[in-house]
Amino acid sequence: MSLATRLTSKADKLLTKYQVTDSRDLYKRVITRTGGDALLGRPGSVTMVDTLLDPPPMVETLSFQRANHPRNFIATIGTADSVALIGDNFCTISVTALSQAELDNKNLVFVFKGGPVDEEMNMITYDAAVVNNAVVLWYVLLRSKGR
Amino acid sequence: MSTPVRDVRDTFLKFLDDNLAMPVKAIRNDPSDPGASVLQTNAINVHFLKLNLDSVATQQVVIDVLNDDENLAVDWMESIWTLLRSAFYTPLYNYSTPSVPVAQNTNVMWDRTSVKFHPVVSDNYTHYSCVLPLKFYAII
Repeated sequence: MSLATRLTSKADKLLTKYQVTDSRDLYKRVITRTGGDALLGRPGSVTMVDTLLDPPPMVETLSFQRANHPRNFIATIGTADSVALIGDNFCTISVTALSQAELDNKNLVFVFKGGPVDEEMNMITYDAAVVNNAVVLWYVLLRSKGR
Repeated sequence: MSTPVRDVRDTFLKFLDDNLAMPVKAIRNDPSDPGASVLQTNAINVHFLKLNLDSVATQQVVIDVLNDDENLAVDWMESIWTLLRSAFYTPLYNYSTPSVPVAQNTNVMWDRTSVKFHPVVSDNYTHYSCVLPLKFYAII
């Protein structure tokens, strides 16, 4: 078993054990449109498939206290050139739960479920923790569509 | 029931798509199509800006030509310029049922001398952008 595989397995166990999340569950939502007229934005039918991220990701809501976060795009939070805003969700997600292809799918959004209402999130950007050229974890920055 | 503004947008998109041999993409926010709001390379990207509603209304449209091949981008830009210079109006249709457009007995017009593209600098692709005001009769 490679080092990366062992680290992925370890990370999955830690994420499952500590369940450090937003108290809500995070799902990935793939939206598929069929038929209709895409140019005019009149779909024939739209299907949404929600899949629970398993193991659960670690979710942090960015606050002013996180200004010294080790991730570069968080370190500049609040500055004019920052991609992150106060209130964004910084997620550490297992590669078991989410693949590179899914992250690159323009029809993928994320949804928090378990609160008063479901909250749909856009992905702002993502980064990877890499060991020996293998991705072990994803760092994903999410922003609520309601903001 | 579509509004005249929606009809104008749909009609202009169809006008470009039907007359240009290149992919046309509408840029819009659509919860059922998350990827629709971003510019696409190797396509003609069309989105709509300021709207002045009056009896003769104005709807600004932005046409962005993006291609990773500069020569092709120039050819595409010239094709759009030729198309928009060849006419100054197109009949307005209602596309509530896209396969059965319904004529609205009026036109969408533009100033064909105002078709001007300017380059937008990018390291990864060639980008030309044109802002064009469309005129239409808003009280139908």
